[in-house]
Amino acid sequence: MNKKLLSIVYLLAGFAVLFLGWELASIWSKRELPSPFKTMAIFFNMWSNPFYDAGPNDKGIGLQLLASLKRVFIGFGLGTLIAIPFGFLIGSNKIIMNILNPVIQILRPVSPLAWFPLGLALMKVSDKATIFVIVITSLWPTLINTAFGVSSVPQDHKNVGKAFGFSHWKYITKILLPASLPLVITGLRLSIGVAWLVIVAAEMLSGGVGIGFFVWDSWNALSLEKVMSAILIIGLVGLVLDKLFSAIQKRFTYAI
Amino acid sequence: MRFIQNTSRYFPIIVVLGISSCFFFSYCGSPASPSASTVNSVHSNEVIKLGFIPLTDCASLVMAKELGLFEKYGLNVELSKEASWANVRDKILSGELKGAHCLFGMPFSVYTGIGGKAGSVMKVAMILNNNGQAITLSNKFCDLIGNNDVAAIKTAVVKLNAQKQLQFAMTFPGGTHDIWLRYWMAATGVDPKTVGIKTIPPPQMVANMKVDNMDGYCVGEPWNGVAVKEGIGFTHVASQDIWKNHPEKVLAVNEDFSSVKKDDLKKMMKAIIEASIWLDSLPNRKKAAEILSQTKYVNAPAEVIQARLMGTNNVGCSFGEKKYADDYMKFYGEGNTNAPRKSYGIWFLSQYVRFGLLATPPGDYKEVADKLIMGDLFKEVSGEMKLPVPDDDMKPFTVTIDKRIFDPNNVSGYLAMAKK
Repeated sequence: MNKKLLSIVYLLAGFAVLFLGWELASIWSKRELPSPFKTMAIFFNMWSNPFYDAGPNDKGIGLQLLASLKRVFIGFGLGTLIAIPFGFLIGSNKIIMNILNPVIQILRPVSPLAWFPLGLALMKVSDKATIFVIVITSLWPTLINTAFGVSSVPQDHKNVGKAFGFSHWKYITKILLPASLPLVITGLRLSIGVAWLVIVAAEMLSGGVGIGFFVWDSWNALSLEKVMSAILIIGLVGLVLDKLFSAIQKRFTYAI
Repeated sequence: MRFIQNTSRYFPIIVVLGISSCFFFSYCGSPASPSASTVNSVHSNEVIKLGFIPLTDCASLVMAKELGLFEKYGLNVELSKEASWANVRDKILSGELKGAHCLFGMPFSVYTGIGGKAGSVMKVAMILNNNGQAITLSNKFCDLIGNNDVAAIKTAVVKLNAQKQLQFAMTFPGGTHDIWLRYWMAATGVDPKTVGIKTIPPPQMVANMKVDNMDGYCVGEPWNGVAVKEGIGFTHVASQDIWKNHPEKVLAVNEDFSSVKKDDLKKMMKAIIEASIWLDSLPNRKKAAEILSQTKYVNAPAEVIQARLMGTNNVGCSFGEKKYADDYMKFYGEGNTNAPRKSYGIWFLSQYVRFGLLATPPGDYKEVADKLIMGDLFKEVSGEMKLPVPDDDMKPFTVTIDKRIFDPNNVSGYLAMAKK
């Protein structure tokens, strides 16, 4: 109980520091940067009716957020479907690892903005191009962590499998999977973070409904209050996604 | 007991997989539904997506929608706000948008490879408006030159450029704003190659001008009005001071759509022409400004849009107001605005050559214009509406700022004369 109370105090203190710094920055910029109070007024106003729908170019913030989350989960899901099998393949075979490692290292750090034109050329439709960008930028952490997890299964575990004459299937389900799972999930946690990070940039380029285009459109309307509110929302949603995956991670972290 | 432990352990991952798969299947399912609806509605009730950029001159598309004119012609048009001109280009080429509010120069710039993959075709169905753009200069020019004081430009630019490399901005390489900017420089004796000219989105122009990183830009309204309102710059010349009643935005359309759905395109053009006539009755413009100012369209204060839409520019600095009596932003221009002249296309191509945007001139200027401009279709539409069509498709015209005559039938002669 006491601990919980303390964590709330810490949370409030954190926000106080944030708002103080923000207010100072706002004063320093001669109010070019909107003050936290003005922003919060807009923020709560946006949330007073989050699901209104006035046609394709004017939707409530809740609908925009859902559209973005949908893209993120589709992109992340597809990325995971690619990353985990490839990770297993790369992690379990030294030759494949040596062949693919340089390619992965080259593709991994490429910015989402650079992928977008390629995605559009491939997919023809901007919404699919956005998802392509999420897939291709978010799969790397899962892929690398899976490969690392698989390649670092202790020799003792493998020996046990051999000694008991495990079938391939049994080896995979009883030794390989459980031993590499914590790292795979660490990879997934990093990947969902990247996917959420990328959505804003990708939607700025692609247009359409979503929190990223909302930021762009608000900037076009020179409403920095809305841009700041969107930044807060993006941050909060990112936090929730991370908490979700950290909960999963806790479940699967055990001493090997 | 172990089983329960296991499931609870797996619970969060099941949640995530569940959410992902829900979205995944709804996503995979969605492409099927539009095609199903096309089957149900063979009679042009299919949604036609038209793109626009939030600028005052998207008004005729917006009003055609708001006044129910698209519906009147049996079209189900959805307007879609786009992020950038490059975005508009890509979506028209892919067919995601059937058409869009687009810079006159853009189809030519894309086709010649300046602003896109060479050979990509975007068709020009009609011109949407004349006039209503401007060149904004930052406040440091205030004391050196006045509004429309073209003679003082060269000295001012040379002087400031010596202190610090001047930076100008426009909206799309080879687009209208790019060419107005370069033409204005050449006409005032400034070599466009001595200053920086960048393509950036309008809010970045304003943000950069605020912190003194940007010295001038050419863009559509309301962005020049915004600079005055924010007190960071003034409207040096309106685009109509450069070329009175110049072509500005066009209705650009997807090539397949223009041939396969020609009837729909004709209906669309009729609706837009009717909206243009409505917009050219000045008393209607107050209402238009209010509608345009909504979040879903331009998303800017109505008063900023309205003043310049009515032809009254608050110039900024201490220059007061400037009224444009007969050359404010026009959408119909008593029948002179909308016809897509091939001569205009050839003029843009020749400017690309003049300013070095195109290294090798097109073999046949007229051929490019013939390919991109749908002049015959416009005549057909006007004929059906019993509206006059101006007979000046390939006639010479004069550009206001330097009084230079352009003859589309003699481009090489023009280029030899124009200052390089």
